[in-house]
Amino acid sequence: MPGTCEILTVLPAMDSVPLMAHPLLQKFLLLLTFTLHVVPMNFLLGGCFFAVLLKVQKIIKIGDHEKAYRLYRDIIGAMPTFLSFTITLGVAPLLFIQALYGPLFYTSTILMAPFWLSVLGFILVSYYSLYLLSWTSEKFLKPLRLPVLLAAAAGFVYSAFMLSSNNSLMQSPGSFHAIYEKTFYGIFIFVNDLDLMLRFHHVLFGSVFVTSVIILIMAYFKRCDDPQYADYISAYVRPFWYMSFAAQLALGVSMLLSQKAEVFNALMGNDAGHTFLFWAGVALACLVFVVGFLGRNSIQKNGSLILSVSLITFLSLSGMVMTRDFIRDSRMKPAFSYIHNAYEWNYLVVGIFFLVFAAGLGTVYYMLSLPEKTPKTGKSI
Amino acid sequence: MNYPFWDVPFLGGSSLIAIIAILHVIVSHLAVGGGFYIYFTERKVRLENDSKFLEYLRSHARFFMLLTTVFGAVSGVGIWFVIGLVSPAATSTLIHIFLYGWAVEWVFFFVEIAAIIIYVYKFDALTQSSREKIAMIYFIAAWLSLFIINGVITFMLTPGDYYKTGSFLTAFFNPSFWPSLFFRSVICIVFAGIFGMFTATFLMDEETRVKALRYSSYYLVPGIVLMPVLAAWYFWTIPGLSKNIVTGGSAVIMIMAGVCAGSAALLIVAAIAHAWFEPKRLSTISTLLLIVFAGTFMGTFELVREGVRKPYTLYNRMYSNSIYVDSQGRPEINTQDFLSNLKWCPIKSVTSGNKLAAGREIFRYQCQACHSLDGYNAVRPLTKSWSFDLTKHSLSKLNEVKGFMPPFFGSAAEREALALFLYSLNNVVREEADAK
Repeated sequence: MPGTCEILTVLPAMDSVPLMAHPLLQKFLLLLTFTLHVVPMNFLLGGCFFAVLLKVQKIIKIGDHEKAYRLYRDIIGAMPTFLSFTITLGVAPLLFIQALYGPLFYTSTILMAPFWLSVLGFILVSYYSLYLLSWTSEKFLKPLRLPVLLAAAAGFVYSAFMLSSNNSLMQSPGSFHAIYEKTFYGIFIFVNDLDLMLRFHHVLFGSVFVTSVIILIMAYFKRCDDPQYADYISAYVRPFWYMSFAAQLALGVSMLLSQKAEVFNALMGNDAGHTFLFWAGVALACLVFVVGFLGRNSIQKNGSLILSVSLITFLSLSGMVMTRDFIRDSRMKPAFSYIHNAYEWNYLVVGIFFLVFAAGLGTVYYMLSLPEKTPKTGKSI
Repeated sequence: MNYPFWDVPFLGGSSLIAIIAILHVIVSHLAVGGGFYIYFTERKVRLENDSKFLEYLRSHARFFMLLTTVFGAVSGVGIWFVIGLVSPAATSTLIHIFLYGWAVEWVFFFVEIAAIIIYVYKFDALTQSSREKIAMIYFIAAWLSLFIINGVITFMLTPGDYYKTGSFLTAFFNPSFWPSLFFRSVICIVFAGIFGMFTATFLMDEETRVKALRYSSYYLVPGIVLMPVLAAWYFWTIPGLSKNIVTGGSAVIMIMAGVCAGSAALLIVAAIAHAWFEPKRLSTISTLLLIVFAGTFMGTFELVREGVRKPYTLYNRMYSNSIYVDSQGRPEINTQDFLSNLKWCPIKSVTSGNKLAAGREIFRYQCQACHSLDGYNAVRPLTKSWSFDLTKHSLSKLNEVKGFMPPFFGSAAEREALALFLYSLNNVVREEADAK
């Protein structure tokens, strides 16, 4: 591992054009938009997991496979929309990460360029596969439907791994030059990192946890039309919810222990702010579990309970995103700090952004509240 | 010379950008025009109370969503990915200049996606007036998205006084902003008509099919009058060197401009004539052919637009090979010792024993942004008949002989090393020997 001076000589310089606001504002927006992106992204990964299980259950006809099939259709039906929002909400963090971490981000993507770029192809194929499964009847291409679903799931897992791998590589600027020297055409995947492996598994199990909560929300909305189906969903999801929580806990402890002393100590009390954020995230995740466990027989019927579980899950997720961000910055620190980006306030343009942002949210709310026909008629897609 | 270089074999990075970008702009222009089309078709359905046409609109909107939210959105992210890989320095500079402009565009993109999803998924549930409102919101958000992106794209060719003032508004509302915005807006409407004709061919009911084909062809009419006028206005605003390139300075660009104009004319005339005189014979295959013309027009237009920006990526600020210039047009690197500027190159100077290797590295960092060895814009066939002396001489006069090429940067020894490398592509060369 080269020393700090050597690292600095092979890092690209920061762009000389100043940012329009203090880097901390971009950091805030990066974390906000990334947290929003993570929610639908989790449903994609976790949704694929549940969809595969339910589809297999339907094929081999075990348990209440009719309800399993119905739940499969509900999950698959929602996934293209969640994918749309995963991509849309992912654009903003991609923008802010380039603005703040450009020298590291561009370099790490170039070092693994074909794999980084291939993510788009996989997402595109997975995206159309989801629409195929969602918009066509089960009779259409019947023998191929499970393989198509598995291929879509594999595409998402591959993409999640490549994005995680690039993120980890970005945090290892000391290895950039050696990788560039030894590889050709960007044919390189960064895998030799314990933190990456733990984090990637944390992402996978976390997605099952978050998806369980989203499916419970779906159960809540089904409670009036079909209470039995809502009960089925709740009973089906709970074991996976508990198991993913346990796995998250074990992986979380391993990740904490694998951090270098400086980060470990910061999260264990040396840095009050980050200690609070980290432990608040952990405590909230435990709280979600406890609340869910205690209310396990009525969660799908209880609006306040489902709202509390959803909100606490979101807050826990936010705490974890901020903790991850702190760890990332700590790992980069010897060579790079985003705070050194030059900036010159442009209040007009930044103000316009916040106005448009508020107007955009208002417009989406307005569209969702536009009147529907009564009673509902016609076909549904 | 800040970033490592991604070597894309055969294709070259610039053609990789072109492939992704051209596919994206076709769909993204449709995405904007499609909003206009859906809104006015909703109004038509309401005024005529035509349930068959409503069914057509329903299926058109589904196709539209599948194309724009999936391919359009993913290829849009694809452009971000690929420009960051091929031109990281230029991408970084553009992001720093336009960060919050892009953030605003993201909000419009988000509203656009939400609108089309709500529109399609709740098509049957919503009242007609609600659908009409959502279609209008979609169109406004999509057009505003074009409004923002147009500012960034046009800035790259016509930065105006930005490098003197440093003002965001100067950069955004640059000299070619308005002609480009109007020109692209008309393209959006034309594309909406073409894709409307495509989906109409799937209608089984002949009467509705003919009606939908003729109706969609109306969207091509503004193109007949406005596109030539707006293209002329656009041309008038571009720099002198760019005008020279398109009017003969580069034969390839001039031919592409001709193909661009020709395919646009052919597209509009063929589509309107077919829809009006032989609508019953207009098949899906015929409309696919129209889409190919539309793609040819859009592709060549974008290639010409990129081509006339040469020798720069960011006009008057950064050459195609990522070398920055200052406000006086002077390179911001040590031009007397190019290799020492390269952070990622293991060779720091030319010696008698490393000329070929040094030449290879200089080629990578100065030439390979636009040239490959054997694939796209290949130098091996280009320099096949060149002697070593001619190669060396050409390198010393690059920008004088061809105005769309950047000058060579480096010492005499580095120029000789690059010349030797280029000469070695078609000749057997030993270090030190044949150079003499």
